[in-house]
Amino acid sequence: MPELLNDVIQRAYIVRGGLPRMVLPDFAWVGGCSNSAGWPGPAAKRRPVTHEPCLAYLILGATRTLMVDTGHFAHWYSLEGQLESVLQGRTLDYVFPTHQEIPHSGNLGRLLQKYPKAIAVGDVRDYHLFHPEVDLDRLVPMKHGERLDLGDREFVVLDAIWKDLSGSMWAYDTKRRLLFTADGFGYIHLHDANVCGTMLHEMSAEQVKQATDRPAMPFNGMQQRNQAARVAAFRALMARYPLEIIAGGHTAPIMGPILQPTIEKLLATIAENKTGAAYLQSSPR
Amino acid sequence: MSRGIDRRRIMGGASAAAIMALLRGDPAVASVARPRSALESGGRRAFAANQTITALVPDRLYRVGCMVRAERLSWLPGDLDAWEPLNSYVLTDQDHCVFVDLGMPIARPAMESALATLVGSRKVWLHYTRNEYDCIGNLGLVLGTCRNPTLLFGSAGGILEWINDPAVSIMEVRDFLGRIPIEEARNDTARSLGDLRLRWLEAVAKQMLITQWVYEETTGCLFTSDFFGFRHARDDASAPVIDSAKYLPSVDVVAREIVARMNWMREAQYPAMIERFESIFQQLDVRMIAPVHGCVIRGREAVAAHVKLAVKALRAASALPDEERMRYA
Repeated sequence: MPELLNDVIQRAYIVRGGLPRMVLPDFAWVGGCSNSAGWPGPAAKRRPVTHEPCLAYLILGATRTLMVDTGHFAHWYSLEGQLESVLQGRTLDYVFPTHQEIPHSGNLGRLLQKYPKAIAVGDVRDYHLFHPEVDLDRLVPMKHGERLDLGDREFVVLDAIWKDLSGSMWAYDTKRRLLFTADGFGYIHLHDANVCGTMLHEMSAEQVKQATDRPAMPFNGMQQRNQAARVAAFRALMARYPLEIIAGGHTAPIMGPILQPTIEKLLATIAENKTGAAYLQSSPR
Repeated sequence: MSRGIDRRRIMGGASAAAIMALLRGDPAVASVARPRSALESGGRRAFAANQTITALVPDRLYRVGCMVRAERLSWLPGDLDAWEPLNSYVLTDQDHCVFVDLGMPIARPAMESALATLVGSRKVWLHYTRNEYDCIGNLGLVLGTCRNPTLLFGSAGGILEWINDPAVSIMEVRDFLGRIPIEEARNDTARSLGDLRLRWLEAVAKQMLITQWVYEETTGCLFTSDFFGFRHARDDASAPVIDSAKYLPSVDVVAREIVARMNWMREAQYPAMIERFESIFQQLDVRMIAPVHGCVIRGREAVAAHVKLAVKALRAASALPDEERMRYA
């Protein structure tokens, strides 16, 4: 195994792979990865070293812009510049944190400060306690099925089928047929694979297999519940909201011919009620 | 349409109007929606009352926190008419000061008071039960304020990379890892710090995969993170402590509150978890239960009654309908 760079060893949150990336002219991928070699406790010694993408997305609508998730708190040193390069002088109108966990909402206060006209939308419960400096009228609750008009598309807020926290929400971009899945469809990759900043359809078949064999499934209680019923619910969602792209908080956008096989592979894993690879956290046990 | 949001599909007019009125701070409508709201402080920002330090065991254990309206909280049903204590805890002996959970940023005034009055020359230790805002929201404040703190680490993630340390710039925060001593606090281990006897165990009832409970032997206090928060305060001046085994909420009410936080329990089967839950309270002499939100439960009789209620509610939670599944059926 190649020797790790010192900064990679020391930093738990890194940005590699040329982010931000304009996936489509109106859809950008920002953020970075967490790095197990930089974590406290036994995880830092674990080999092979793994990364978990910690991502956020920007939709550049015709009249409004929207950010899905806030990016990880520790990526702000890079994320702020990434946002500026994507927005190209436009302001940010909406921030949609998919849930109240810090990797998904930790930069909310910074974003609302940087973009004074932006408002947070979605399940915005709790954020007034986390960010008491934020005016309450900038935290606007939205419920399942409600829509935002971005000019050339609607952004539909959906209840999440697999939830990390009870405030988890998914969302759908009607123009791009794009489903944002929060912690769903997350994948961990190997440091040595050098695939940070790479989408599945850009990888070799071996890399795709390796990447999708390691689903990040941070959902407690999976094995205590009938997952077949939830897989059926996901299929019903797909029938109602046809998918061409999936973008999760812990995976690069999944699109093109590889989308359907990737969905089926994960649904099969879930239906069998296997938790897959352990979530990228250092176990206290 | 309001601010580009189309609410016609889901929200009934009255409910949407009430919510938006609350958000806009319209006192006339807000007073109809709720007798006292988070906005009633007159400001445009969230309001917390009663930022206090409560001695739970004199000279040994303190609750540090505040009260907020039980509204717009993800861990509670939306129709609760109550106030919610937000808690963190400080254990002390002559030489040691152990923070257990650090609370949310809205409770910062109480935490600042604790730092000013409880620490003194004592050696500071910190432990958090979960990697979430309600447990680590003031971690940066405490680490940045105290001299030579040590983190008792049994949990997850590159925590030191993403705390908001007021004493350093954001770039320096990225090097925090090497500057704060970390000592492991793994599940099923115990440790003495002076007179304090700490023992860590994997949380039994939990939402997040990596959640710890902590038991302190001399106080008999079990720190239960996000479980056992089903007792609330009647008003902002109420005590954040329940000493009585009387006037318990119903099993159904508690079950509904449990699944508001632990959504996976609906339609789930978890007999082994309930068995372990009961066995922990048989093994440990728990005289106090200290959650991060909700009232502290104090005294053997009160603890026993609430544990019994919790077991019944856990069983009842299993029978509640799985809303996400039904949403797309």
